[in-house]
Amino acid sequence: MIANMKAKSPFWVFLCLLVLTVTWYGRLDASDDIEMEPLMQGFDESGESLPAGEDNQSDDILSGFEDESQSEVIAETDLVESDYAVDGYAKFASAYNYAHNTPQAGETDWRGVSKLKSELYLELNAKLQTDWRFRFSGKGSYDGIYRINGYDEYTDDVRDNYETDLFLTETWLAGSPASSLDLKVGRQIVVWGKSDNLRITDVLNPLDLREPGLTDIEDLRLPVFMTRLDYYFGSWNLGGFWIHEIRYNQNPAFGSDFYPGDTPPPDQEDPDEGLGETEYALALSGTFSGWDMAFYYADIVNDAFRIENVSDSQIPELCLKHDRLDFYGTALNVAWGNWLLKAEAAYWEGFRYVNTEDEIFSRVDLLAGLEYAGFQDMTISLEVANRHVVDYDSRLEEFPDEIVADDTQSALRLTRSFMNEALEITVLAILYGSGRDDGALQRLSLDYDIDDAWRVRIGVVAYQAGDRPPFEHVEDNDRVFLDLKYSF
Amino acid sequence: MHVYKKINILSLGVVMFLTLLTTAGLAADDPEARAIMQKVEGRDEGDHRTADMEMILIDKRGKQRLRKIRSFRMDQGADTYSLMFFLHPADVKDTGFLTYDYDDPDRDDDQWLYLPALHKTKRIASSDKSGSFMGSDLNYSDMTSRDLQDYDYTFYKEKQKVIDGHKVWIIQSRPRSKAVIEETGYTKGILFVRQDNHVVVRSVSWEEKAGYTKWMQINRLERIDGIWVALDMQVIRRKGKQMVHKTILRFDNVRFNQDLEDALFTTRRLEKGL
Repeated sequence: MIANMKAKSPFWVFLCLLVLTVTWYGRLDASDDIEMEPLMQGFDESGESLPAGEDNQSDDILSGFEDESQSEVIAETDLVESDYAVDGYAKFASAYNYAHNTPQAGETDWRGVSKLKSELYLELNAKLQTDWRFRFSGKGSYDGIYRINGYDEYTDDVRDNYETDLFLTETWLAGSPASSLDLKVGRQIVVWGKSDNLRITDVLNPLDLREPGLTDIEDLRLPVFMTRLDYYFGSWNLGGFWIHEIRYNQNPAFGSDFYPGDTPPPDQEDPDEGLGETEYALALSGTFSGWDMAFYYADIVNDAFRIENVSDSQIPELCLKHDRLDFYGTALNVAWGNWLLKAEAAYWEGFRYVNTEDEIFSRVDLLAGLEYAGFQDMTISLEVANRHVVDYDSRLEEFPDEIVADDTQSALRLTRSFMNEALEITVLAILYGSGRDDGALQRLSLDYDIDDAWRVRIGVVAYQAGDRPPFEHVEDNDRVFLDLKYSF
Repeated sequence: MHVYKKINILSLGVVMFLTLLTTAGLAADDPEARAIMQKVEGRDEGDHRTADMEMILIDKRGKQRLRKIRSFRMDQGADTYSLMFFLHPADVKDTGFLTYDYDDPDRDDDQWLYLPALHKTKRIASSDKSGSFMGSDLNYSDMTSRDLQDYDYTFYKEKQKVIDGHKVWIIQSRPRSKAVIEETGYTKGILFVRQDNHVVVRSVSWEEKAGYTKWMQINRLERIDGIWVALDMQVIRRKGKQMVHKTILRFDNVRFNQDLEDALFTTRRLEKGL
């Protein structure tokens, strides 16, 4: 019985693994003492021996250089140098929901296949003259699942937001009007900060949050039209940003399985279509040996909405508003051996909430992160962030604000490549709240290069419900996904 | 593509396997072997160099993948700055790497990676150099010159031989510390050094992972602007005698003494691309 208990005990399993590991490690060490000769035996001679006296030993380590495989080496691909290039990709993305319960009458049935999306991305790059470049790119997609399952199954909002998409992505003109000056005008993405999984100082571009945990990271940020001017001096770069296009985060549409509620959202205040709401930002970035640092300032419109009662009567009339905020931030990277330290801090001014009427709040956001790259072909990173509302008012906890004094978020990512980087496995876990009381998601994905052009991705994403939106009702949204991408 | 590792530009002299390790249990350093290795180390590898590289990755079933890279390298005193951009395949096109490879062994190299899909330059911290370089059978330590003081050099029992009509010295190398083994991933090696030009034309190296070896050979060696350059080489990784994977490296448009400015080797340039 004792033996049986021991066999089942995690400790004993661990001990056995430890013994095996140590034994294996011992074998590695022992290999250092292996004589070369046995390893060399059996290889064919392909070199010519020196005359007697110069070459008095016969064992050979030459034929191991020969390749016994019969594969024909592919012909060299000549890349034509051109001032114009069209690149892009075609992608088929699918998802299968496996955790939803049987819906009640009138509800969307999210069980089974939930996505059959075809996507095409085209990018034209042109070199106009020395150091001046132009890019025009756009993306279109169509998800056939809505037609297959029947439009009646979905809300109009879902169909409008998910079935078809066609929009300009990065489209800009960039160049250097002077040797220390860069100019870039057009729809573009600017990434601030040093963290990779959580956003504290990366505030200029809104996000596509329609499918949390499922959006590819290259599709996560939405480009906006801006004018960017960068001045370089020594190890520093001073950047000025005038953001003319106001776009907000794209949130889950009413009726989607990520939408946190049963009623449609209030109307959203539209951004000014002129230049009246132009946002301004500054970034001072330094690059040094072993560390990088940046300081940021931004006068921007909040990409996330807040709810406001715009009614003068007793009957409330709600709308979604986006406040103008002031942002001050800093970010730091320090490299030490196989470790990379990441730190970010931000101070926000200008938050307003429904329950506190005209009161204006500030917020302090902090992030600390570590990345380790000391294991072969593997990177592990951990980031923890906290957003603290200064002079917190307990009324903010109530509906519809539902703001907590300290909002904690943690992200753990592990990436490991195999098969000479033909296969890459990524594990990502994001926890909301100090434990995972506000929700969590875990994602496991495998990317495999079928060849140079084709890549397949399979994965699974699992959600845990939390106390606050957007994770209140997502526990049923677990799904597996399969993407096939052809790049050209 | 796993790229969070040290990238150091491909020395055309391909310094790789320059200081591989040797069998334990043999006598320590041989001054004559060391003198040869000092000549290998001191060989002119050129400066202000530009080149195009083609890397063909072949697995044991014969499946092939192709990588194309344009590279720039410049010496900065005893340090080396390098920059490379991916040209092919399409999904990693315009990805760039910038490396400041410091001569001081106590100073970590600076490395930055620009991923166009993420619109971000990321600093890379990895003093471990045993990981695969871009999916090839080279690792990052193969791309850098090593400190000869980290190794013992002795002649292999067959001191010299003729390969492809050229006399070569056969030299064994062995790291002097566990730290060097862990950093490079190799426990020992054999180098074939051409006697006329001190180029390592072949090598065998034993990985720390038991049973695995790497076999490098230069198939085409030419003199460009007075500098010996490997234009075609292959590396075969074996487990026992079985091939596990193979990499063919071809270089083209190799030019030295080009007009490369300091401003090229900056994160600004990394983000702007070619």
